[in-house]
Amino acid sequence: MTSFNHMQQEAKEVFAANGWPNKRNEDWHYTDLSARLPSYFHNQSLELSEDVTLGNLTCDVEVDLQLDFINGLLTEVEELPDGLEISALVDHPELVQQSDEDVTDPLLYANLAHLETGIVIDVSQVIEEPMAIHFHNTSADETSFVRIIFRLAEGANLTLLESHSGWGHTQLVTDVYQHKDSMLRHLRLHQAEDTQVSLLLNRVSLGARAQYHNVAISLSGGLGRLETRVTFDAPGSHAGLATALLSGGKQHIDITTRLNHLSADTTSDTVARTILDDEACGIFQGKVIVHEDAQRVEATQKSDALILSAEAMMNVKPELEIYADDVACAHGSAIGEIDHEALFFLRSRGIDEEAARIMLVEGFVSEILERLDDFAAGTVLQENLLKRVATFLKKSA
Amino acid sequence: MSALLEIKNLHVSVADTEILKGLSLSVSAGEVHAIMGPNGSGKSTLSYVLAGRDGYEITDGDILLNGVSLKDMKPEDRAIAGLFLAFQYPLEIPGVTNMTFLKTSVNAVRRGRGEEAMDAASFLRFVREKAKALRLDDDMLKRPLNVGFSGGEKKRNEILQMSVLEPLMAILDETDSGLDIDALKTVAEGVNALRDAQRGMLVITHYQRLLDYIKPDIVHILAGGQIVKTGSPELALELEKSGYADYVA
Repeated sequence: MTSFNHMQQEAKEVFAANGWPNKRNEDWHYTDLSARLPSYFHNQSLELSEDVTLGNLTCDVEVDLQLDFINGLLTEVEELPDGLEISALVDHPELVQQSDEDVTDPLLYANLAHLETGIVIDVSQVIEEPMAIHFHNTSADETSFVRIIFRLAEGANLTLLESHSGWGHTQLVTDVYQHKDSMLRHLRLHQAEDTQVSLLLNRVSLGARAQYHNVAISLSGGLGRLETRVTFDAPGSHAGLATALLSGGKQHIDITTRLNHLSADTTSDTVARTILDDEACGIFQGKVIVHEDAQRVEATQKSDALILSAEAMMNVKPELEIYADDVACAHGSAIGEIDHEALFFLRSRGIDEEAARIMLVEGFVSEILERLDDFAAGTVLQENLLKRVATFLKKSA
Repeated sequence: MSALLEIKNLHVSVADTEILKGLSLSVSAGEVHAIMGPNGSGKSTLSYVLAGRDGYEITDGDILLNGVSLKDMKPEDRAIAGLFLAFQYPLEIPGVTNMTFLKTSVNAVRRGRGEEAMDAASFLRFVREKAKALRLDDDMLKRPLNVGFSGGEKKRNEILQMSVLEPLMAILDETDSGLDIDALKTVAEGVNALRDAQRGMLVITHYQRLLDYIKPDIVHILAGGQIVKTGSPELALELEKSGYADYVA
């Protein structure tokens, strides 16, 4: 078998030859990385400094089970509960997939070429308490190149609260293998400094009746790509992807989803809500592919954007590729400004204009937050995230 | 005694077209006035201009509430001053629960009036009692504002807002539109319960039917942007028989 080191060497060569993708790559048409990123990175931190404190940067909930990645390195891991095991990725070279597609995928070869930490998390049963994973770079010179592989055994269940903060450059690849009847609830909170770069890729493959629920909230950061790819390998599997993107300043945030229905009787629903202010640029590229044998697939995809400023820009590329004939698929997309009728209605009830605007925008986002209803600590998360949304809106008002 | 609401020689244009052409009207505290008129007579313009909606330009005349001009006031300040418009088509606002909306609204108005804001528990008691009188159940308070509400529920919800905001002057714009007879009765009961010696009401309607349930003291006929006739409640009955033909130029 090819060793881990050998694969990493190969990735370095591919990265040296190809670099970051540019506009000519269709998947990167709206987010030209070659123009925005340095051609190579030095990994600055080889050891952790002792004095890093995270403060109130995580998902706002107290959890016992927390992994912190500071500048790409995993800090000490507390005792793990039964049913959860962590091992090093170097010991599982077979999990670093090297399909032809992977070798030419910039997010994958760049990640592997620079990889600082790779871990495998095995979940063998229902884990009641949520698990938090936090990523933080302490300065603009710092990078985090991390790969995490989750393997959920049959019937396993986990709530994952992932958050990102700080400066520098973070590139995370999360691979999720879900066996039958397993469930992963995955919150991703992206709230970094305005020079920060985050390239976050989720790849999920679902066995029979497996469910993946993703809620992604992006509240800031300079350049971001939050990409999720799901493969439905067996009947009864379901994925729900809900994203709220709030951007201001000169932020450029790209939401890309690809739902690959290989199996019959699978369902997905994708919903994205974007709010853009100042000169922010938002992108939603959503693709649903239903393969020839994948009959009775139900897939919906909806993107709505609210533009608060004349200088902001939204790019939307919804795609359906359907090769089966007995399916129910729908997609829709809308871009608009604040509804003046609704604003007048609220003001006629004594609510001042700024508060009325905030109320309408919060309403627009809260439908995404409602997807946290079934998450462990869901109510607390909703309340705290709504506060963060309100703070964002007050800043931009 | 001076009038609660006084509209003086009001001229209003929308996109350079004059819609109201010298409308005058005064409503005293405790009175219910009805305004009836054919399509295009300016009924909706009147309700919107009173509430302060953008796009309606007052070119002449004035609107006084308790002697204070509303002309340059923002919509929210008019609400605080005691004006309330029940919308013909109440807006649906996804993601904002009815309860959150009502609480924000009531507390904004209370603070504007120099009163203390209500805490969550006292507001809940307050609103539940008012909602019960209008046969609005708790579930409707928890749902997003007007989303998925039937026509009758939306109108009852408008009356609920009126009842919690306790305005001096309420404008009801075509409150009967889209209602079946049972819903109409419930809404009218709600409105009648809010009739008060301190409060004025202006009921704007197309049909006489609503006035069977909300009995006005005075009826005005609006045609061509002016009040062309003012009379007793019988005027509404006459109109029902003869139609608006006599009043339309």
